[in-house]
Order: sequence, then structure tokens, then C-alpha cells
Amino acid sequence: MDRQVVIVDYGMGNLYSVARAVEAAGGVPLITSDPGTVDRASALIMPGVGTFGDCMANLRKTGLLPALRRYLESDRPYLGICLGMQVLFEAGEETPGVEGIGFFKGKAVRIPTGEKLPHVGWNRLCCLRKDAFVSGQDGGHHYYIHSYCCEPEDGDIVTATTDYGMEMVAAVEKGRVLGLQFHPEKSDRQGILLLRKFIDGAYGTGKAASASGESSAETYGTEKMRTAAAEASAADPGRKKGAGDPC
Amino acid sequence: MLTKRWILALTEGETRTPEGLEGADELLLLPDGSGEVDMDSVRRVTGSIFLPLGVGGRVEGLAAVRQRLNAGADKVVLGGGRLPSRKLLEEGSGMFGSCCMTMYLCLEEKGGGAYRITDPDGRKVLAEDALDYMKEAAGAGAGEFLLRQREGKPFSDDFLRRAVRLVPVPLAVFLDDTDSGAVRRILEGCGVDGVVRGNGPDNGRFFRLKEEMASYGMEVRLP
Repeated sequence: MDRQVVIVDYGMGNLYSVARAVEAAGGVPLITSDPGTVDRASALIMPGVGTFGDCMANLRKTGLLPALRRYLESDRPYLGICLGMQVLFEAGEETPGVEGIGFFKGKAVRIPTGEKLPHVGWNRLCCLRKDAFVSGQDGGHHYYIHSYCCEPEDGDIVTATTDYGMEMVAAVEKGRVLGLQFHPEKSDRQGILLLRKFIDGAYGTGKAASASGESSAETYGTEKMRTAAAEASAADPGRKKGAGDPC
Repeated sequence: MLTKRWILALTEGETRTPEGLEGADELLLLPDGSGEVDMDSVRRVTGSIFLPLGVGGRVEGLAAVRQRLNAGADKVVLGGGRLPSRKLLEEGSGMFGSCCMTMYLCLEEKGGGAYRITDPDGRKVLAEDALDYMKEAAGAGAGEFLLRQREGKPFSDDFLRRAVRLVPVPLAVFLDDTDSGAVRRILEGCGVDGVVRGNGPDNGRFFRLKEEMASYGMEVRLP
């Protein structure tokens, strides 16, 4: 299907917001746990929720693991988000003894920082390569929520870092395989622009997309908020505003 | 460097205010009178606003945690009128990560710079020493605390500094005062990670504080 983006469902949740963000970025999301659908995918997102061990156990149980390996070997567009990036590596310190997908050499380790964990919030991106997928957003803020980070053996795959009392890997890239430690689906306009770039990279720039993707990403917020507000109001017009304060 | 966070708390059904949500770094969806949050409301927010979202309501087991995450929430908000069991914190953080387990605590000063945890009405004491409880809960899997003092009183700076030093996870505090000096003292002076405010007509003022803080050199995300 035109501009279809397959979102891998490995049973840990948080697929809804990724799917809606893909729509906002001009893609057509298809959530699946079917290995055959992964085999046929032209663009794939591996979202990130849960722990390394549970994720890998579910990928094995559902038969998705061999399909993902075939997909990665074929160098089709892959976007791993947070844990979806970490499982590309060989192992995760969070669950010792559990093998990752192993596409990249290295492992996910507990963030070696003196700062508080988890690393939650908006942090600034420092791009290392001008030709990287994320290079247009050097210095921009993105949303992170994690306690583990990637430690690649091959430093050349690292395209961006972020500062959290240490230089932490924020993005990796090899061919058409991308990994982002932050959550583009939660990173407001910047995140939607990145998702649009990923989809455009897979399918080319669509009719609806501008060259930069900026027009849709700039407008999605206010239009959608108005729609959501209207829907919410219609659903319960008598609901009072300004509460949110149970204390 | 991680930015300080401006968090807006909405009740179920609110997805936008007259001035919009453009300055918010993060949203909370908390229950109103019913005590529960409808997942359709969660999906309305997550389907249209691409910001981090914490969702409260009755979270008494892993199924409720999963339900919220499946609807697009990034975190569940536990606490309020009832503290979660240690088992729920351990199992929830074990399955979804501690970063998904946020705790909302209502505090009451009990003298000597110490605070106890009460229910939102202040009728029932839930834990006699807030700092001890927070350390224990963080050890069990709580990944973040949102603190509010009853009747909107400000916390003492000394308490906030101790909480930041002793509790090993991020802390944000509810803010009723939009005085820039107070905000700067809480975030910069005490080292608190974020400020939370209930949705209301002065959201604009709340968000404009970000620009003021930026002018002092504080790391914030400007829309």
C-alpha cells in the first residue's frame, strides 16, 4: 500500500501514539505481529516500550525475530525507537544472558552517568555527521524516557549524541537502518518531521508532502487540537474545566 | 543537557485550553470526580497531540498499567488518594520499566521541615514520612515523583533540596504561584526537574515563565 509503514507489535503496548504520529507524518500505519507482513514491508518501525528481555522473548515467541533479521539483512528502511534501537544490538545489561537481534555489535548498558535515572525529559541533539538522517535537527530538543543506552563497538554508526553528564548515543545509522534513542512520536513537531523524513526516504516525497515536510508538521498541532477539543466537548459537554487538581 | 519541564495537568475531557498547549513539555491526564480516566479520552489526546503523557485513575494492577500504555500513555500516574502496593511498583517497573511508573503524592507539612503523605483531602495519612516513603518507592520501581502540598502552599526550599539529594529519580512539583523568582528558586536553586500546573485560564502566564527562565540561562524547550 502507498506509504504504508509497518509497526511491529511485540505485545508491550504504546503502539497507538506511534501509529497516530505516522499518520500525522503522512504515512499509513499498519500494526502487526505477523512475520509474513514484516517480510513484505517496505518501511518498518520497531517501537520501544518495556524491557530488553521481555521484548526479545516476545519476538521469539511470535516468530517475529527471524522475520526482523531477514528484513534488516535486506537493507529496507527500519526505524528503531528507544528499546527498538537497543534490541538491534547483541545484548542488554538489563537482562543478562538474553541475546538481542545482533544487527549491530555492542550492547545496551545502564546509563553510566552521575545524573538521576531514568533519563526523562527533553534533551538537545548533537549531530556528528552532516549527512546523517537526523542532521537537520542538530541542537533541537527531543523527548527521552529510558534508563539504558546503547554502547556500540563501531563508533562510526553513531550519528548523534546527547549530553546527560556523559555523551550518550542518541542516534545510530547504517545503510537504511536507523535507531533513535528518543521518541519522535512524542517529540512534537521535530519528531513528526523526522517521521516524515523516514517515510519520504522509503517512498519518495508524496504529493501531500512539502519538500521539507514542514507545512504539515507545523499545522498538525493546532488543527488536531481543535478537533480533539471539539470531540471531547461533544462527548461530555457538561464537564467542568480547570480542575486537574485533586489536592 | 536535560531541560527543566513544564507539565500541564488536564482532567479527563480537557484536551485544549483557550490559550492552547503549545508551551507544555508534557501532559498529565488525571481523573476528576469519578476517580477514573476513560481510555477514549486518553486516545483523543495521544491521537492528536504528540507530547509525552502520564495518565492517572484507578491503577491497581498490571492490566490497568498496560491499558494506559496501549492507549498511548507514556507513563501511568499512581498515588493520589491511595499509595500503590510495593508489588505493583516492582512488577510494573519490571515489565514496562521504572520510567513508566510516575507517582503523584499530596504532602502536608508536619513541622520541623518534614512532610507526611496524605490523601487529597488531607483526611487520611498515607505515609508518616514523605522522604522515607519516596526513597522506598523509588527502590521498588517508582521512576518519578510529582509532589503537591495541600492548599497550594509552597514547599520549603530545604525540603526540596533534601528530596532532590536523597530520592534517586526525577522530581516535579505542583506550582500555584507563577512568580518567576519562586520558579527559579525551585528549579535552579533546589534542583527540581519540573513544574506542574493544573489546566486553567492562566496557562499563558505559566508558559511565559519558560521564556523568562531561558533569559536567566536555564535550559528549557521553547516552542
